[in-house]
Amino acid sequence: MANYLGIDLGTTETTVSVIEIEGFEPPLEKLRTLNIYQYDEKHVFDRDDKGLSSSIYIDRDNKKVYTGRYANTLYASGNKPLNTIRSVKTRIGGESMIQVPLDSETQNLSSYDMTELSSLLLKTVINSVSKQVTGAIDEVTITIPAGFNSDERAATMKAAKLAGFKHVHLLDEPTAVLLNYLNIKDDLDRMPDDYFYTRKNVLVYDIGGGTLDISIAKVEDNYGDFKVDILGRSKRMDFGGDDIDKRIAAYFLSEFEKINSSIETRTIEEQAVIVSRIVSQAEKAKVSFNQKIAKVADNVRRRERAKEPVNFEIIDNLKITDLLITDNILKDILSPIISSSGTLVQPIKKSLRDSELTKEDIDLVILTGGTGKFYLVEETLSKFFGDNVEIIDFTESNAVSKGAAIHSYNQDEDELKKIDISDIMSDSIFIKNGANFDKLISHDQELDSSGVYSYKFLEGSDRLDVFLYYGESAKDPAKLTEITGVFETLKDYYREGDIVELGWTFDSNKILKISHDGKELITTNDMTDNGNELINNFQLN
Amino acid sequence: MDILKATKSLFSKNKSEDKTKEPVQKTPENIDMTINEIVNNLENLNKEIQEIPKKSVAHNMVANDFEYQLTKVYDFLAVNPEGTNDQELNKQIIASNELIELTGAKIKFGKGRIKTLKNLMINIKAKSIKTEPTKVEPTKVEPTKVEPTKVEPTKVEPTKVEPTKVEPAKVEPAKVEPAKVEPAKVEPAKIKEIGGSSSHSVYSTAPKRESMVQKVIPNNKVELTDTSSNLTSILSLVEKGLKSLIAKSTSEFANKVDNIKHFISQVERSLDQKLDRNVKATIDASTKLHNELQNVSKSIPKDILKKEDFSFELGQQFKKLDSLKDVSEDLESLPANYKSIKSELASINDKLDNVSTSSVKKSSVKVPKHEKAVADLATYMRDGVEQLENMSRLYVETIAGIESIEIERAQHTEQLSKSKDEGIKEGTQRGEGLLAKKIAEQFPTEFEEIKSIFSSVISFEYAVGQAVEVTNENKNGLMPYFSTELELGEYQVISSDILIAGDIVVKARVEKVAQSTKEG
Repeated sequence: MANYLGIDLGTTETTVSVIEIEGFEPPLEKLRTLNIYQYDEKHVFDRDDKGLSSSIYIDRDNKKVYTGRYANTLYASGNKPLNTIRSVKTRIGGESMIQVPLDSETQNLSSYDMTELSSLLLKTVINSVSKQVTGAIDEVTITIPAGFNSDERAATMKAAKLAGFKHVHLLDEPTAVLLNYLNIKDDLDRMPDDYFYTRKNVLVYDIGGGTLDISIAKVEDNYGDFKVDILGRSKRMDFGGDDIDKRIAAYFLSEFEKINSSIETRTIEEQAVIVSRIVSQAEKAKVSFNQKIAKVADNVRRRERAKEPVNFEIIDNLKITDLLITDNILKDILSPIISSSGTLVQPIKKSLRDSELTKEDIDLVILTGGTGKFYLVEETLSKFFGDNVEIIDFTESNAVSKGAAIHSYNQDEDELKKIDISDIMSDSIFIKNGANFDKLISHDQELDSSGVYSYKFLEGSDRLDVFLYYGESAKDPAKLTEITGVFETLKDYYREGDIVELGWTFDSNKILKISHDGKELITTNDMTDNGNELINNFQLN
Repeated sequence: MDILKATKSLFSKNKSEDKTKEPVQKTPENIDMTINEIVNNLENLNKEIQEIPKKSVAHNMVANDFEYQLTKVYDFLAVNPEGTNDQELNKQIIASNELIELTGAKIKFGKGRIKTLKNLMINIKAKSIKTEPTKVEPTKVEPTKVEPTKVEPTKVEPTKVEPTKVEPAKVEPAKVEPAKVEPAKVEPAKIKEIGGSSSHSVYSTAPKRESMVQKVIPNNKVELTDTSSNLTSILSLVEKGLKSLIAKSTSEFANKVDNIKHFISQVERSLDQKLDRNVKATIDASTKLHNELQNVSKSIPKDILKKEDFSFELGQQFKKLDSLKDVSEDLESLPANYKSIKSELASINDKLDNVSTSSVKKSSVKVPKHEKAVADLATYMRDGVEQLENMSRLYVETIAGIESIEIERAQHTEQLSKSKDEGIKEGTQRGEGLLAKKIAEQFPTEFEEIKSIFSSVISFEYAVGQAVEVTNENKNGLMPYFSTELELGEYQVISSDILIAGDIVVKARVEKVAQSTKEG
């Protein structure tokens, strides 16, 4: 009996998949996505097949924490703006904290950091898993955006440990998708078995509700497993389906304002109501129209004729009536996004440039993420890459967590295909020495490596100031972000120009440790204990 | 191109076989000899041309032979001036000979070659004067290169000469067509005449040439010059003669051609006329025939049987006849049959009597007695009753089963209709719910007015005017139903929440009851 877990810790939703092995069954047959138990919209404890909304509501008065749908409802209704939080993932790893008041004493504030909040989501997962899986969890893999820096990785790692996970591995989301795809690709009828016998350049295009990630990898069959070289990846972009909804909403509003007076004449509260209504209707219209298009995708004429009538009240009996959404209108509204130089394509171009490739060099595109389902996304990619490039629709919502579960399984077993990945980070790590920033860990640094850094004293001192930053280049120090730092008093006094040797190690989870004279000075694996009040003293769900 | 190359090389450096074996030394004496020979030959040629009838086989043969001999002479002249037998020269000669064989090209002696011959001779003369022949070599080669283009038309000649051998008058119209070729045709005529006359003499002189060549003749410049000028003048004379001959034969030939043309056109015209007449007559006849045929076919009534139908009908009639014949035969034999039947019946009666008596005798022994029959009957009856009993028992059982099934069926039907009704109700409710939800979401104001229509799917938790106390214990349960930010304390519901099919679609609006009021 063995359980291998994969968790897709998403910005808006978290899903979990497991490979539960009892005997000698084929592992992929035992790969399934688990339900996550949580409070629903009406505060009834239930389980939700879809996953866990990554929203948290902290009820300090009752020492309770809610994760999932109930918290999300509260967040959306704005009932508890100070007690609810969403998009923890995008804020993890920094100094960002949330201050939560007591209901009974609003001036009484308590601070919580993102790592701890993340661990709450993971703990909800662990609780649900234990209800559905017998036995201990052997390995767990948590996916993170490829663009996560060392600090963010360390924070995620810490959150997993806080939640109570052991044997934790981190895996980049696009890599998880790729791993999943490579293991099930033989079941997808389109690909010949020997497709990867020759090297192929695969582009993973991951577009979710709020983020866009692109990775380009060179994949080659390596005696049944796969050798993967990451050639390049985009910076994480805060762009996704929400932005498409907003554009459609803007169109609705402009059409509305053609007939009615501008909503600016309304009160702020009314404007908020209007905007939320329009955006939610825009999303509905998009989803509904997308379904209609999917049914007639093969027929150009029927596609052109497909239309979605939009009718709804904006406020106080002022309505949008019989506004039509058609393929042409959508293309018009979304042209800044879907054009050949639009938001969807630009990051591809940049990633290609970084990888020193052209679009003709790409053999396969794996389209993943929720917004990948929107037909114009695939259409834009098809247009950009042309007919010769195969675009695999891998927008299934559990694609990432399933890939993560496979990664966990691969830690112990050999049954499934593995990937031998030479990974690179999107950023390098710099060490500050006086006013200079020296590159300590290059973005393509080999994992499990170590080295020595010579620290040169710029003035006489017995104090060693070690500060780590991450970023793309030291040319523009303003763009570098501080990770952590330490002032260490040394035994001896050093004169100007003297050199002290600092040892560093960079492990398989991309955690950096710096030591001097056998003593660990600094690590990007932040294990400082903030008390973890929520984890230790609060009732979760 | 191969032919052109071959001819080029021939003109530049060629040698007959005997010469390659035994290169002849170029001396003023043997040159004189050769030139004299040629002059003689050409003079003879002039005479012979007059004697041999044109277009005859003999004429062609002579012409061909002469050409061959003349080529040899020419080759001798072309190569010999150098007076060398070096390897390079021999190679070229062999190569060119091979080329001749390969291409099957016959060297013809045309205008161009005559001219070349002249040039060569002039060169030879000049060289022999200088007595340094090797230097002159290239200049000799060059003019010969220019000539091949002139020689080409001469290649066409033999093919033109051949038809003359056939002679039949019928072929003439065919010849008429290439009127443009005529001047070209004239050339061979001249050459043939030349060749015809000289061929014999050349054959005879060929062996002599070798002996003559070996003689050593003292160098006499003046003589050579004279001879060559003589030769030149003779050659020009010959050329003139040839030209006049060509002109003559051309005009003759042209006349003939005109005649033939005229004749053909006449024949054509008459043929046309005849053909026209014939065709007209034929057409007339055929139309007549056609009309008649049509008339005939019209006169035939439409219901008349086709041949096949008719023969079929006939066959049928014959069959009927045959059957009638059989019947009549049968009828004829009927009285006789009747008699035989009667007699047979009588015999049968007798037989039957016999049979019945014999059978009775037999049964009295084997057939069971009355008791046995009764016993048998009894067993049959018993079996029958048993069977009847079984059947009745089965019937009772079955009827009970059927009855229970019917009861069950009735129950099921009831249940079915019940669940059907329920399903319809649920479906309608769900549909109503969806519709209500959609309207409520899209047109909240209007929904407020018409919500009574959906009363079956609408419910609420908090009624208007209801007071709600928010405490730390119940706040989490309350919050989903209220639109405003809730604090701990007392609230009053201003507008009710709306739940459609169990989902909160519209949240209740509440108003906090003022603290002072509460305290007061």
